[in-house]
Amino acid sequence: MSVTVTHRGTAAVEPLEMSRLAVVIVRAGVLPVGAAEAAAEAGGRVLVLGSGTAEAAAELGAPRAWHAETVDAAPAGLSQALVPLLEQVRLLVFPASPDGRDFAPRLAAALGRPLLAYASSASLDDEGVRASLSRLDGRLEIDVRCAEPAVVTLMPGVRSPLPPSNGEVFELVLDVQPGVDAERLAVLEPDPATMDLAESTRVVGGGAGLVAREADDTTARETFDLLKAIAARLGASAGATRVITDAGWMHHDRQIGTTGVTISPDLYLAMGVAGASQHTGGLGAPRHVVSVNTDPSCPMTAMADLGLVTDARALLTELAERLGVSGA
Amino acid sequence: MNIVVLVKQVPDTWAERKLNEGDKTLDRASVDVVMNEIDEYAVEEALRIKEAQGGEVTILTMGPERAVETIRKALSMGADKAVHLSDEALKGSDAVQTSYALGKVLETLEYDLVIVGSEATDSRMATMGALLSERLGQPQLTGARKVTAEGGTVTIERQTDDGYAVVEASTPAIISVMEKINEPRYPSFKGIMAAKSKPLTTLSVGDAGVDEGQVGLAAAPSQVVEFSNKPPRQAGQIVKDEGDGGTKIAEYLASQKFV
Ligand SMILES: Cc1cc2nc3c(=O)[nH]c(=O)nc-3n(C[C@H](O)[C@H](O)[C@H](O)COP(=O)(O)OP(=O)(O)OC[C@H]3O[C@@H](n4cnc5c(N)ncnc54)[C@H](O)[C@@H]3O)c2cc1C
Ligand SMILES: Cc1cc2nc3c(=O)[nH]c(=O)nc-3n(C[C@H](O)[C@H](O)[C@H](O)COP(=O)(O)OP(=O)(O)OC[C@H]3O[C@@H](n4cnc5c(N)ncnc54)[C@H](O)[C@@H]3O)c2cc1C
Repeated sequence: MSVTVTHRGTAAVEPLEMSRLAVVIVRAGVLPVGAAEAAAEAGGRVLVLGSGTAEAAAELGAPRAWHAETVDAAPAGLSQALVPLLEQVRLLVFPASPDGRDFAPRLAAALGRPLLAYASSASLDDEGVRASLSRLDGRLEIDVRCAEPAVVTLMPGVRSPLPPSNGEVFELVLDVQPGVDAERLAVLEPDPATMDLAESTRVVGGGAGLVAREADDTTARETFDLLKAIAARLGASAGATRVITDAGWMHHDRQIGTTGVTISPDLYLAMGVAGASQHTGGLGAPRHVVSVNTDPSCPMTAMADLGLVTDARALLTELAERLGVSGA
Repeated sequence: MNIVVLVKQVPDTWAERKLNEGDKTLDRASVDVVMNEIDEYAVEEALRIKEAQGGEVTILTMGPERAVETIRKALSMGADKAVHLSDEALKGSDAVQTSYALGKVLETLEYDLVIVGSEATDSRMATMGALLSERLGQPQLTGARKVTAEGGTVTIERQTDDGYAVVEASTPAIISVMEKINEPRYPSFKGIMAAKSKPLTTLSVGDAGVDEGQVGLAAAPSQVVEFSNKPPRQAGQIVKDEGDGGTKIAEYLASQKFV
């Protein structure tokens, strides 16, 4: 593999010999959720891969950044090209973004290193890597030690990023050999109105409790249109449980959960949501949770900061009136 | 088309799941166990491809003796045969070690496709598809909500957080499926009866050519030093609506400076 390093910063050019490094994969220059946090957890050193890496690296403003355009590189080729580059780094931190979660295991296998997934912290000392992993929907916190180098994926929302610094940025040219890989034929665009959900700091989620058993399709649709309008008024995005997206009352791209979108908002307002593990598994680490549910013992209310035991439909109407949202 | 489906046995998500105090591994003995639910979708998808174009569906499970119950369920859904990798030495293996052991068995099987679930409910790692691709040097098609396999080519619609991509690869390939892909069937009575006589091969690490020194808790590069069970969040305040529900929410949002 040949690595061409174009000097863009002020320090001398060096191979990647630091002990900790964040690896961030971007598309068209867009940083994934948790990128700045991963960079901070790795002591401010970061390698940006993908497309639009120069602008993404600049936006990160990390003390030290490397970037390589690997636009058309598929995972098999890329992992092989990265092995010689990253062999010396003892702690590699990926943000647990979709691309990060997808690629980190490949790199771990290629480097023959353990993978510590969904960490809430990761550090390095004389005895090796130390990480805290959050499991079983946050009910279990595991402290792991690893004498060998390791690959970690860091959950978003677990720490604050470093203050932006006008650090050095180096460009790397990676020679990626075509590997045995899948080929991307097309990208189907999602509903643009739903793109915001994963990134949103406030989310209002609707569940089956918002729909009366006898309600017809039109009424149900109106309910969720109202939910969206209320969310918009609160500066929030609207999401839903699978029951709702399966029924077609909200678009599939708005499903929150382990098989839908993963969010990590400051505020999650759940209306008539039971809180099944597949749903709460997509909530990340929400800072504030409000649950409106007739069942005071449902899991959603059990994990809420404020659980309001009431009819979610009536409350939705009341909120609409208070906020001056029409359609109620 | 010959397909291997990877099926894992996990504690029921409704059961109280916890780690053992002693070796700090997941307690899999004292809880109700089930087939990892997404793996039912993986089995279903394999059966649909087989029913359309012929071939054989093989179930592969690594797990304790008890995991045989889960294997039987997959066979009763309609899979043809199964391989059970079961050995005390494997207990406590981490994900990279597990992919090594499963990869060893896969190397001895003839297949066009390997189908795994997107993630296991116990660890929630969602890594096995990518790990096996890297290990076996076969294309990675993860996060499929639709699979089309024809001749030597397989195409999936891949679900990502920001949309869908159509991705294609030549076989053999590794696919992981999401729950939107199909609706798994229930085993029929006939299926349950038939499952009892379907071929099931049990392998020890030795049989599978797995190096004992590379698997299991003792060889795992990472050690759990400590763990704590905790409520996911501070127990909050639960209040009844006394006609002022909207006000209560408004007050809460205001107190946290959301409005
Ligand atoms: C493989 C797999 C993957 C899955 N992935 C996801 C996923 O990604 N996301 C997801 O959300 N789900 C997912 N699910 C489904 C999940 O298991 C639950 O079935 C689903 O989340 C439940 O949705 P719900 O809370 O809207 O409905 P329900 O479970 O029907 O709960 C309705 C809730 O509303 C309350 N309620 C009823 N009436 C009222 C009222 N008038 N006012 C207030 N509250 C009321 C009830 O007390 C209850 O708590 C998945 C399931 C499987 C098997
Ligand atoms: C609470 C907890 C936390 C853990 N954290 C870590 C960690 O951070 N790092 C780490 O390396 N390991 C971890 N492990 C161990 C890890 O779960 C096991 O090594 C496991 O076998 C790896 O696969 P998975 O279930 O995580 O895979 P996933 O990638 O989540 O599973 C995806 C699919 O792979 C297939 N599959 C997975 N395992 C098997 C199997 N045994 N037999 C057949 N098919 C299978 C199934 O089709 C499944 O749907 C953890 C385990 C637990 C219980």
